[in-house]
Formats: sequence, structure tokens, C-alpha cells
Amino acid sequence: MTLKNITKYIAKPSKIFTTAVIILFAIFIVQLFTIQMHNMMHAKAWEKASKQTAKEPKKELTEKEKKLEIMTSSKKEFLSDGTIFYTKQKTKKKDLKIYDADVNMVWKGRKKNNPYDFILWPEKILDSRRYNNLHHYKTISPELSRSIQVPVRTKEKIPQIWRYNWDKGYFKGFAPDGKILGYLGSAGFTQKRSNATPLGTLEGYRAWCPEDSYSPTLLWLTKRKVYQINFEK
Amino acid sequence: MKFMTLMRKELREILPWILFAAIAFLAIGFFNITLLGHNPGYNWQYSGFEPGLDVDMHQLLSTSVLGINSVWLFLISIAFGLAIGIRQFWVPFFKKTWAFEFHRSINRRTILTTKLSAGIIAFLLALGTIWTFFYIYSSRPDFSMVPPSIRNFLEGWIFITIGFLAYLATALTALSRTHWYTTKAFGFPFAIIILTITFSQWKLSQALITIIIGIVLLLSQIIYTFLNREF
Repeated sequence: MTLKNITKYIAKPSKIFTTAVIILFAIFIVQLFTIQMHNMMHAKAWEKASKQTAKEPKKELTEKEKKLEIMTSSKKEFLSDGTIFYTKQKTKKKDLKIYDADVNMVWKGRKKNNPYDFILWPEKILDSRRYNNLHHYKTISPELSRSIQVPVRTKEKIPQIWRYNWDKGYFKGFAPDGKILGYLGSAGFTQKRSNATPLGTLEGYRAWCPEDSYSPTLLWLTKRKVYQINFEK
Repeated sequence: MKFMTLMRKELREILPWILFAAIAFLAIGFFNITLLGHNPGYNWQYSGFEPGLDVDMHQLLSTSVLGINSVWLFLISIAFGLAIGIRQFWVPFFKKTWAFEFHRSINRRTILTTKLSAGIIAFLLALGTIWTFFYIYSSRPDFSMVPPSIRNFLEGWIFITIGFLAYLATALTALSRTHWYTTKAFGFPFAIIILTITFSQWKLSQALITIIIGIVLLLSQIIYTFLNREF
């Protein structure tokens, strides 16, 4: 069998495949465009209809229905012992309502005054936009993927920088002369790369400088674990 | 012997483009690196870190020193792919020199192999070696405290293969016997789709597999068309 014959059996299906992919892609773009146009054209009509619905008198809910409505529309927060809390927040006003497991209101007020803040995750970690950003930074782009670098610094100089390796899942430390200081993974610090263990799939992180330091400490959230990482120690 | 003669002829024809791409990338790259040398560096970047303060996560995200040249590598690679694709596969149609290429006692397979091999060598010489040079140069400890990662270096090579994909798309469009208003130029949108999929990948291996699939699909059509069409 010659190359001419072999390519015949590959080239024709590949041409059909290529054409099909292009047509599907074109349909996808047209569909997106059509939906967007439709939404733009009907936005005003929907707004009018929703205002009309809001004016109509609402049906009085029973006590059971009210509880069910709160349960379905609230955010569920679990404590480590399995206790559940329902939280409801008005996005614009920053007013928060907290309900216990039996859907009895235990607290209501401004979010900053919340005495039950132990049931909530820090906002910076849970912000979904930030999750997406994290994925965005490791995506291949013309500007290359970006890395998380954490300095260990004094007021005047930077004796160490630790870089997170997206693929391996651990930190690698560098000295000012380019020397590799070691690796930091789930099993802690090690000088050998073979002993470095991954921290796990990164979900989010938060950083702050403690009162007595110029170096950031990290709260590192992975799929299964939460680490507090201080590179100075 | 005949193969080498043909190869020399192909390389000679695309040599101006090789030199142009290499010199342009080298000049822009060095200019950017010189600018980077005047950068105040990490002390400036982390100067806002004060005791007791929250650190915004974006302040910890750093672009590699190679990132300053990668956009240029990406653009030059695609432009270079288009240029040598046109030079090798389109110009013979305009100048009507295909008959001259085929009149020798060399089969079509060898002619196509030399053209594609010359294309690969051109990418390696014009962009691959210079990108590797920039990586080695910026990995020196006196240049940057944190050297660029291997991942960033390989991402640059992915841009070079994207340029090669643009080269194959140009070649296929030139060789296709169909009409302009049907599937003749389908190589280009297909290359753009492959590019879009590649740029939505997080893992290098997935990006590489996507590009390899794209190259195989285009290459099989190029070989078939080149061996069967009338010139």
C-alpha cells in the first residue's frame, strides 16, 4: 500500500471532520449572536411583565410553606459537627438573616455586626469570581501563564521568594543568588525535590502580613484541606 | 543527494523570511529585555506589604520575565507561518513554476517532504533557537532572582507549533482544488478553532494534544491533495 493510498483513507474523513467542526463552530457563534440579540430586544418587555407580576397581590403562604421557601432560597452553612445554619443576604443592603436547623431566625442585622461569623467562610476565599481568575491565570495565553510568588522580606530586602508550581502543586524557594532553597508541600519543607508532596488542587487563597512581619502568610484552600503557610518559619 | 539539493533550494527560497523573522524577534526581544533591566524589580513590586495589612491576591501573581517577549513570539510565529506557507505553496501558482518543480526525476512525495522539512527547519532556526536563547539568558541569577519556569518555556514552544499550524493551513488553502466560496479556505478557520481550544487549556499536555490533532488533520489533507492534484 503506497502513501497515496494510505492518505486517501485518512484525508477524506479528516476533511469531513474539519468541515463539520467549522460548520458546528459557525452555528455556535450564530446561535450565541441570535440569543444575545433576542435578549436585548426582549429585555424591556420582560422588565414590563415582571413589574406587572410584582403588582399582583401575593398569595398568603402557610407557616410550613414559609419555612420551606426560606430553606430552598437560603445558603446552607455546615459546622464540623454537622449542624446546619441557613443564611440569607440581601446583596445590595448587606443585611443578613441567620436561621437555625428548624428555620427559626436566630439573628438579623448588618453583616459586619454578625455574632455568628464563625459559620461563614471568609469572603475572599469564597468569591466565585476569584476561583475563575485562578483558573484564568494558569491558562495558556500569549502573555504566558502566571505564577503565584510569595516573598519573604524584611523592610529593606527580599532574602527569599517562593513560587507555586501549578503542575506539581508545591512551592519552590529561591535565594537572591538564584540558589534553590527547597520545596514546600503538604508534608512541609524539604530540600529534595523527590520528597516534595503536592498540596492538592488549589481552590482559593488569602494572604495577609502578620503584625510583626513584612512577609505574607497564606491561608491556602485546596479541595480537601486548608493550610496556613508561613514561609518565614 | 537529490533530496539535499531540493532542500537547499527550498531553504534558499525562504531564507529572507527566516532572517527577517529571526532578526525581528531578536531585536524586539533584546529591546524588551533591556527595558526589563531598568525595572525596579521585586522590592518595588512588594513594597506595599506592610505588617498587619491584607495582601490582595493579585499582588502575589507574577508574570515570567519571558512573558515580555511571548506576545511577540506568538504574533511573529503566526505571521512567519503565513509568509513561508505563501512562499512555498502559493507563489509557484502565481509564477506558474509548478511544472518546473515536477520536471525533474523526483517524485512528488520527495518534493513535499523537502518543502515541509524546510518549513520545520525554518521554524526551529528563526524562532526556536532564539526563544531557547532568551530562556537561557533570563535564567541567569544576575538577571532575575526567580528564573522563568520550564512551563513558560514550553508555552513558547506551543506558540511556535501554532505558527506551524498556520503554515499548514496556508499550504492546504493554496493546494485545495475547491472554489473560494466553498471549502478552499477552511484551513484557516480550522486553525483558529484549534488555537481557541489550545488557549482554553490549563495543562500543557492537553494543549499539545490539541495542536497535534490539528496538525495531523491538516497534514493528511495536504499530503493527499499534493499527491493527487494536477498542477
